[in-house]
Amino acid sequence: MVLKLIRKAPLGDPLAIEFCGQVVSLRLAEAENLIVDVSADCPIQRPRQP
Amino acid sequence: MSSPDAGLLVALVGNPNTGKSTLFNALTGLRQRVGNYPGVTVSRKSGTCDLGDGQKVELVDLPGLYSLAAASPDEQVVIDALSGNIAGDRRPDAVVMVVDATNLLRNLFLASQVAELGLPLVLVLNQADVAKEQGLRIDTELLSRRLGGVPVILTSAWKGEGIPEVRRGLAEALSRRTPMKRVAWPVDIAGALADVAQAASADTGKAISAADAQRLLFDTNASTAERLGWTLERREKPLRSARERVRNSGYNPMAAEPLVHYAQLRVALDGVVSEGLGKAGRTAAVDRLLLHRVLGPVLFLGIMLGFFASVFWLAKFPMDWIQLGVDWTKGVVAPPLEPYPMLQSLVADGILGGVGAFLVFLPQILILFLFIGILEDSGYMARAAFIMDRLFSWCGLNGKSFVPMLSGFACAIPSLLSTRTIEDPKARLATAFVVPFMSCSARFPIYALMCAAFIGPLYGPGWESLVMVGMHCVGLVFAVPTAFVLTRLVLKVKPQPFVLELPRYQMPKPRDVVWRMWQNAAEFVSKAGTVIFAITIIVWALSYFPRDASVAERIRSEHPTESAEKVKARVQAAYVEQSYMGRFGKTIQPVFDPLGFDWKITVGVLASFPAREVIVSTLGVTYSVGEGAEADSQDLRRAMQEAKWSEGPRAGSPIFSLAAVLALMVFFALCSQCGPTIATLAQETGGWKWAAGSFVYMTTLAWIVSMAVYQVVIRLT
Ligand SMILES: Nc1nc2c(ncn2[C@@H]2O[C@H](COP(=O)(O)OP(=O)(O)OP(=O)(O)O)[C@@H](O)[C@H]2O)c(=O)[nH]1
Ligand SMILES: [Mg+2]
Repeated sequence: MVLKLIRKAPLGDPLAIEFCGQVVSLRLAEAENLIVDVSADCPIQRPRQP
Repeated sequence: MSSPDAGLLVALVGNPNTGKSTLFNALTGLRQRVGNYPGVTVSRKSGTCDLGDGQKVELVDLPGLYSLAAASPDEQVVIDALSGNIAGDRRPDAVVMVVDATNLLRNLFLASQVAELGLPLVLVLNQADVAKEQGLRIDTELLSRRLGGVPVILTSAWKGEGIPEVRRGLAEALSRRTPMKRVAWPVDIAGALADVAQAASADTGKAISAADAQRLLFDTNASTAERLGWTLERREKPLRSARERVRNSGYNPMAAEPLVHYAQLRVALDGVVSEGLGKAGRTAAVDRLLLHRVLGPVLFLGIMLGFFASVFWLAKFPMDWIQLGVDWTKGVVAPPLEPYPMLQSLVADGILGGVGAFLVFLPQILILFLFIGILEDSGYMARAAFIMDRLFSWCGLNGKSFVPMLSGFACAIPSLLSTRTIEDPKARLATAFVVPFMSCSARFPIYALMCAAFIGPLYGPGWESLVMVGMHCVGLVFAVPTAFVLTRLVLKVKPQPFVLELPRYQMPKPRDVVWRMWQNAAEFVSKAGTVIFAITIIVWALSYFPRDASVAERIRSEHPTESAEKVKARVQAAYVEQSYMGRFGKTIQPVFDPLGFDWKITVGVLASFPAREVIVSTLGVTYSVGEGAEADSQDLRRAMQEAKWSEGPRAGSPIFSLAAVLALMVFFALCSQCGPTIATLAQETGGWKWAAGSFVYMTTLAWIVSMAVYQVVIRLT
């Protein structure tokens, strides 16, 4: 599974994150609490921290 | 519409925005509202679906959800429906699981959770057209075999493709009763689940299903335990030790469920989807522009401004036509009624004057709904929520409050219902409280009337649209601090998570958008034909009676030299003034005097408390009756432009000065004048307390702000 930070909202928060081909809006504070399944066959990119 | 009690019940379940309501409409022939935004459906709706073999079942459309661990009330509706938990309702006999064909893995997580209920299931892979465009090929037979033989059907519900297959698949699922293959839990989790089921069963004396045991073990919220009557003190210890057991086996108990499901779904999906050549979606490219740091907000504002300007200008011509039509009708109907003055006045002033004045705004309302429909169906609405989230979080709400607030510009009632997608009850309450501040379409007529009659002619069309836009912002300006105080100081809302899917952009579908516009217009017109009509007649009667013939004689003898025309107008004005309405308005008028309202406006304001759009038709009645009952040139605007104070310190000066015009619009922008909104607010907040609070707060605020506007502007002009 790939998590990709697409962009930030104009005011800096929330973030638009793409995974599984869908874009989800997520706040920074909550993005930090994501539980990510790190399977061997799925490269993972963590959302860039500002 | 529902089939006989003994009939079979089928539930439509799936992630938000996958096309459940579209499929529901295709299967039942009904027209449920659809839209490209997660959370359009917020309550259950049912209809009858023909399975093609003569068999009929009752189909229920439900709100979308991502997981059975329900958080918001709209999600709880689904959980209740699946467990047959709603009073008087049965557990469904089968589930039609609607998933987005372009996103099987994530969508199948919910399917896999639902499979635990053991119900016969049909898997519908919807939006096949989009999948095809993206070059995805899906082997439905393979998937069906991997999932235990449940029917798997590719559909494009919107195009009506695959619908007969769904009917057949459903008939097959109901007769063969094939459930979807369940997940195989690792030994320790299975053990923990068994422990939980046993403990709960021992404490409550009820048989605990596998699905319930999973909810008890994995969810942090207590809704399942509460439904089963498993008390906190009794469940605390067994749940803690069961979660400990999960943890010891190497899983985080909060994450174990999705991890296990996803791992097995990945295996099941292996080789099912093959990617060919396809067009990459345009969504990312469009988002680069619309969500740009600088351009995004600029475009957002531009879109909103362009919207109001276009509503205003596009509607101008059809409005003029309707006005002409109303005038023409009066010209035809009134003269033959000359021998019956009362009937003539009832028809010309009461019915045509009142209802006509209201109907004139139909074009603007149509365009308003058209625009909101386009915003929603294109996918921009969710982006607007994304852009606005930061601002909203500052006043204690979140981006999800944006959609109820924006659609509040059309009508507060559906907006209040759409607050159900907000998880946190306090944030939902705060949002519901400020939604009525949004400038709904019923406020449009009074702004439009005032702008067209006064602002436009005096200051030009530029100011006219600017004031129009400004009026739509007044409510917002007061909603923000209200929300701030409410969330921070009164309700003390805790910061809540904001997770919202941004759907892909699509060309707005004319059929859906126009249908929605049509439905809203029909509602508007039927309101004109019923509530507004009734209030109009009452207002007319109150301002026509009593009619003492001596009044006319007195005036004639007082003004012996004046032309017959002028005397007639004087007589009419005197009649209105001494009518019940006139007396009542004059009694109450001192309350509104600091706002610059004369007794006729006061009458309008009072009559508008059940429904604010009544103001226009009331002014239509009171001013046209006062103006003389000839059927020609009954233009309300002209009557108002010419209205002057007849007594008091302002005698001789126009009633509708700039100050009074602005004060009147501001009053209507802020005042709580809508019976249905109050009732809906009471229903959604679970009692009359908040509804009454909203009424008192908004009405008081309206009076104060409007008074301030009048007093300041009158001194400046
Ligand atoms: N291209 C395409 N679009 C579809 C199809 N089915 C539905 N849509 C669109 O997808 C969007 C969502 O449809 P809805 O029927 O409202 O979805 P829903 O699952 O009921 O959504 P919620 O009620 O919010 O959970 C709408 O804009 C539909 O027009 C389809 O087969 N193909
Ligand atoms: Mg729906």
